[in-house]
Amino acid sequence: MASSGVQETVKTATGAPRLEFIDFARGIVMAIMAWDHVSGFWNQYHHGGEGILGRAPPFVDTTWFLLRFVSHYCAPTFIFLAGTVLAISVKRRLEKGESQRDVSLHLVKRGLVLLFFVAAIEAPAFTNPWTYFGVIACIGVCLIIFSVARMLPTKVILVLSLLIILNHSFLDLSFIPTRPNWGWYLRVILHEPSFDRWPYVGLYPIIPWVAVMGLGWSLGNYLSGKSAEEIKGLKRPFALTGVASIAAFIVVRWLNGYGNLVARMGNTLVDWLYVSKYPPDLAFLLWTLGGMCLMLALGIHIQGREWFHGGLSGMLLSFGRNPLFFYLVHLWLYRAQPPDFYPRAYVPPFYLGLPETLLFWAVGLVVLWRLCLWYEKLKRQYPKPILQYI
Amino acid sequence: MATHISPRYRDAAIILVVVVAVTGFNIWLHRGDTPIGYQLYSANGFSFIYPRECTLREAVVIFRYPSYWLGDLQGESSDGAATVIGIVWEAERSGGVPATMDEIIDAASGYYQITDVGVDADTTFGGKQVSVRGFSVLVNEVSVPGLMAGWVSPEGRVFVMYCLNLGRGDDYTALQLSRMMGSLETEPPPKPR
Repeated sequence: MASSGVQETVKTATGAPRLEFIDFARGIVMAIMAWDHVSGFWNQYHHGGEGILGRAPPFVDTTWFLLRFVSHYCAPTFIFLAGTVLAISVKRRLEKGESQRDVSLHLVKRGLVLLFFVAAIEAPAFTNPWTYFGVIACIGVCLIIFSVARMLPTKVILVLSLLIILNHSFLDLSFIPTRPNWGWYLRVILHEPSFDRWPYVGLYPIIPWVAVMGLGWSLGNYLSGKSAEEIKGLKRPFALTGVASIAAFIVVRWLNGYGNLVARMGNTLVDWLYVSKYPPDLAFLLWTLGGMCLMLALGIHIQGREWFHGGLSGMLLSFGRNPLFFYLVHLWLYRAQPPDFYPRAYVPPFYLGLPETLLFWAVGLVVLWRLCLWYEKLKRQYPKPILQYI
Repeated sequence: MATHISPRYRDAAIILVVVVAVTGFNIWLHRGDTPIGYQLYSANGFSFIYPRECTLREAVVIFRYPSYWLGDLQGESSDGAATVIGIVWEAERSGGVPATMDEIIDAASGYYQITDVGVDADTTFGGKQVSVRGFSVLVNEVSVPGLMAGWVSPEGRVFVMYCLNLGRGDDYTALQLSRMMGSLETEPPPKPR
């Protein structure tokens, strides 16, 4: 029976049970992210760039706006839960008897491997230069930061993370010169995402994303060692936090001042929801992390059900258990073209319509599901060495 | 009687106080900053904010170097020129604001087809009593709606601001003009030496 094979996979390398509601939430956003990318590769009216230098590139209509907007959940959830899983895994490694030095070294190596994947796999998939500072590069650098920052007490990390998220909009990097190019690139990496000076481009600056990971880290430390019963009891707090966060989003957008890097310029649905992702403003994070909390609550609600490991939720779980593998594979699966050896602005050979793109997305998810299951099997067969980094 | 507070609640309270205090201080410290997404123009005896994505150029409507009593600026957004904003100022003359608006439309008509010019209406933009006039510009057979608003400053200058936008609706144009007009501050003329 398929479920028995899956049951084996819900144990971690150390034998401790996985927190499957985390895999479930992560699986949902991986599937949504796949939509964003397939649509970005093949749809004429799909675009991003919300908030870069305060810009708000218009969408052709509300449908295309919402088809993009739904993907906003991905990066915050991905990075937040990376912090959560990191905290849990670090704690388990230390409990297994690994030294502090080895744990830190592992995080640095993992961060460097991610940076290599950016240059070799992620950036070429988007037809970007290898210097592109995308979501994987950001996570890689954050892992390196956390190889040291993890020594701080959790409460300090929590306070610093909240302060960064609530105050990063006041950050002024004008003291860093934009000439020579390293100054420009440093600003891109730190807090000013931009595509204006090729090849020094990036979309996911360390500030404030490192703080999103810090919040996730704090949650991970809170969850560590919790019993199944205690985890069940978190459903309501997660749901309430999610609702409160979305309510706070509405207040911030209504006030239309602090917390908005893209101002609300009217009262249409698009005006209310058009928030800055690059860098993420407070409104963006309230909406997306609020949604993530609701996904976690839903995951806790259904994780005990008989059907949880099968069907659609089983597929989402397999995505969530293999996020990096999924990420690297899905880019090239949906790109479906050979690499460009001369990076340029990406233009597909032809455009697909919306129904064809949706079909492509759905078929791709099934393929990715099978690939993820195959990869899990491979990881069980060869638990060491390089596969542990993917 | 001594009250015992659980360490968990005490820590949460401390975290809350620190975060609220630092953030509140930062908001207060930056209360006068140019709003996010805007830049400040300050010269020729006045200042105003305009969308950051628009790069201002001088002498687009009036072919003269800008001075205290006469000049113009125009900015187009770099992301596909979806937004155009501008400001024209001159000494008040007979005909007042409507005359300056007519002059701008005449100048623009030399380059573009201006259609749907509306009737002037009085309203309040950013706390200033202004006259507004709607219009459209035909660009490559696409009609781009626009709005202009004029105001007379205490020192006797007419300021007309305009905004055109494709795709984001009238609310956007009106709000953009309202923000720009609301931020407009003028200074008395320089004294003769």
